[in-house]
Amino acid sequence: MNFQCKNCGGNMVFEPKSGKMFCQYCKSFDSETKTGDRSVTVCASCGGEISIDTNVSSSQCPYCGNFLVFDERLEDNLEPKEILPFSITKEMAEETLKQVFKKRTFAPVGFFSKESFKNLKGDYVPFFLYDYNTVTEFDGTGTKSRSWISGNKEYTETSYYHLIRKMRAGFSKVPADASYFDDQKMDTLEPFPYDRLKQFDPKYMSGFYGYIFDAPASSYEPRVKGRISGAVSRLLSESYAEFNGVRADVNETDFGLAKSEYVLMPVWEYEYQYKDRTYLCYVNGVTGKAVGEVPVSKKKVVGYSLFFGTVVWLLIQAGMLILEVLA
Amino acid sequence: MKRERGAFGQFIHHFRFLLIIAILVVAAAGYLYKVKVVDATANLKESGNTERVYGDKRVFDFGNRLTDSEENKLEDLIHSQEKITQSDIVIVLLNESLADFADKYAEKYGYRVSTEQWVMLYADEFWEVNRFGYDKPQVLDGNSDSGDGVCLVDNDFREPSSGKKHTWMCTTGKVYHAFSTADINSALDVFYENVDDDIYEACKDFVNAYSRHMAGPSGVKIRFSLIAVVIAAGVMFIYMGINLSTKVGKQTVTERTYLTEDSPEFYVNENIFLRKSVTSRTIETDSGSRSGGGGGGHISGGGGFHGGGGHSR
Repeated sequence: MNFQCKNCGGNMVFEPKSGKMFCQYCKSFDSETKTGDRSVTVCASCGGEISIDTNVSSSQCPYCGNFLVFDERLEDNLEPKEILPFSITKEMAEETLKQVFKKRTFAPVGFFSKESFKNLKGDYVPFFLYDYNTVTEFDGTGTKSRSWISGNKEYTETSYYHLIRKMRAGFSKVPADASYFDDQKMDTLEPFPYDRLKQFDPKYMSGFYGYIFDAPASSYEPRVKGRISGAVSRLLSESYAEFNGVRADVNETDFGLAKSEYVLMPVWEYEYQYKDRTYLCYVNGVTGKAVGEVPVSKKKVVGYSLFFGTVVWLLIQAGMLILEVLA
Repeated sequence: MKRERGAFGQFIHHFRFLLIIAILVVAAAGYLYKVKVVDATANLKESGNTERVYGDKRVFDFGNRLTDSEENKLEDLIHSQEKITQSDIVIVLLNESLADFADKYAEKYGYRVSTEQWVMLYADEFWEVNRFGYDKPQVLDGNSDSGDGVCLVDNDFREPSSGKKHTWMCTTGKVYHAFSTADINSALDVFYENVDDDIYEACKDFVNAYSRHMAGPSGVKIRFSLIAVVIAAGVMFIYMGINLSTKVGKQTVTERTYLTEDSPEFYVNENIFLRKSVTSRTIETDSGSRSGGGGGGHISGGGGFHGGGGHSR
């Protein structure tokens, strides 16, 4: 199905700036109506045959350019509980990337060109949010040392303590990317502002590319537990920061899963092909935080570095000459 | 609408501040070099002294310590530096006791000094008798305003009375005013770096050090500096390292980002003292010593005013 304008019949998309549905043709707001059937092989607007990957829940028709939302991939257990709508526009994401990339001296010349930014697209990335209650038991030995000098001798006193800790810690909405997107990059895009989460409505997906999770929530639990485990260790170590050295005899954490929920998070995706490799950069669709990888042009590395080194050498030689003349 | 920069535009934009600084610094260096060096060198005078006993000869290797080739190279170096420094540069290398010379000197002028200063008497007389001085031969009136130049005398003979080999740097005329006691010691330190291993290198280093001190801007040369290349290469690699990073974005969530409000709760938190131990170590200390020497202005037995200083080994 797609969202059609009641006034002119044009394709309506969600506009991040106003937070409303917008008709790209007659410029009217919130005048949408759902049209078309539930097909994932025929465009609801032009009737063209389309080929959509099984993990895609919204896309764009390659023939008419209208945005389509696939209902059957957003129902029952595939229906997200909540969605974080885009509030950063494509132009804002482009500007953010430009600001970040302009500091990348060795990026290829075309990397931030207008032409390249045509590949910038908005994705709704599937995430699971987990709530965990943890209980940690720690038993170990801590040492405190102090030194002083008397005469020609240095003395060191070491005190030994038995450390016992029992800690409860609750973690709420710890996110895990549930798609083919790079996990590390998605983690780096955090935090997503949860206070702006909305109850799921497919209209937010019109104008963007949506994906469904690759595996059930239980598949991502080990990764989330790993993140929480690191957090628990750091919280625990803060409690014995006054000790110079600590040795653990017992250090165990029980993880109690309270709940998990399926949500969609907004991410601007920029794809750049350079020398047979694809480089991907992302912008958080709400906070504007940018992450990714930038290609390096070997020509630029050599040319810029040699020029820089030569100018520095010239400056040193000139500086030495000035000092010698004025001495 | 803002135009996109091409490869050259990006290059210029990236280096714009460095280029401006480089142009300003190089222009300043060029201007200073022209005004202070080129113009000053153009005003240098030829020596007005035509009375030197040995003519153009400046190196006197009485101790046969240099090869003929080394002696010639040293002569060439000295001649190239004399115009720049506007002073005579004389080197005398000995390998003999100056005890007899000191006795004859005392008989002639009634001037007797300790063993350390025999080289001083020798240098003073050598300068005066052989009528050195870039401006003119030294006028022996007890004043320090004529006979511009320096005379280095090194005796490789170990005098039995002192148990040492002695060296003297005799300064005359404007050179006397240009070299303080500390400057003389510094020039002799340079000479002593190689004196026992390679006398030619030692003499060459001395002449260059003397020339650097005396010449002022007119002695400045544009030289290729290896140190500058090494520093520039180091800075270049740092620049490369900083800019080669390909990753964008840092993790900004912490362990506390997803913690619930009442967490963490330590319902058991105890530190129970067990025992204490004390260890000790002895601190070792170091000590060392240094010494130095120097000389000053005096009037020779012949009546000439000289400055100078000596070293011994």
